[in-house]
Amino acid sequence: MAKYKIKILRDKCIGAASCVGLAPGAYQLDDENIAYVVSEEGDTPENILLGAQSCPTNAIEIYDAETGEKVWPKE
Amino acid sequence: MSQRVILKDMQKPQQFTGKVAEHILINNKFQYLHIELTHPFRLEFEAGQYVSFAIGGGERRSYSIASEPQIDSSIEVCVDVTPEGKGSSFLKSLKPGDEVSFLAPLGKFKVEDESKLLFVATGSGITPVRSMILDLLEYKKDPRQIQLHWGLRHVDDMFWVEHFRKFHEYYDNFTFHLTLSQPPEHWPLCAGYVTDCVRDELTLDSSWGVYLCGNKFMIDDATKLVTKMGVPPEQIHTEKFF
Repeated sequence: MAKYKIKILRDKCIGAASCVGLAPGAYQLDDENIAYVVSEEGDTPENILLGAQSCPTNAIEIYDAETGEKVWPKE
Repeated sequence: MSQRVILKDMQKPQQFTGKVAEHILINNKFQYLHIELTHPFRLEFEAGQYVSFAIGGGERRSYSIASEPQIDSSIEVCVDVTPEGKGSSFLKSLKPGDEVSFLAPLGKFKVEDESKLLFVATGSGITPVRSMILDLLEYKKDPRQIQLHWGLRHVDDMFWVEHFRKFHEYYDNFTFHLTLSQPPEHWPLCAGYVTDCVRDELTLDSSWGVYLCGNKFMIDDATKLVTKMGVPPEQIHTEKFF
């Protein structure tokens, strides 16, 4: 089971692709240059979280899959 | 449903640590930082890419690299500190010798193979553009026609201007235009919005690649303008987080 649930905020994504660079098995860009989730188990949990943390516009939200608690961005 | 594109050839970013070698208050608005890498010692990147600094409290902020890729043992960044947000306050507080950690290289704002190149920047949006222009002119000796339009607000905000003027004099294929939105009396150069200056100075066509970095208003306005002039959407490249 995946450690994290990933939510992409399409209206905030600017297609910088930092998430893709860090966790290409989890994130890719679609033909509108917006990030999408390939698989929540497509990379290590560390890389998936780092991919979200590297986003310059905080367009990726990460939740604990078990508890539903928001892990990133921190409020 | 959108068609999905798999990006496979991106360089994997790494965690770096570095030490602040130099911190210069350029003026009341902009600050310059020179960071020497301590681990790893080398950063391979492409002009236009950015780094993501850990700024404490588990937070990160992104800043474009101002230096050229041929210098791979350090990075330079230039930051507008007037928003006084967490990122700029963190960088403002750094002193020579302080340690920083960051992820790099990030982003895909890079020079492509169009026949002619137009760069339009506002404020500290000049940062990745400086890296690109240094790389193109000084190192690659790129013969393409290159135009730079840079918009600042006041005379007091000006920096790196002499640097670009010298390039303008030295390289036949490089033209530099500075625009001030709030110029002093008798300002001899472009005044107003940088996009208006582009409209007045240039006629573009489908052979141009356009690189936009700065505030959202400029990016939206310039995108509309150059699209109307015939530049295909895939040849308009933007960095929007400034």
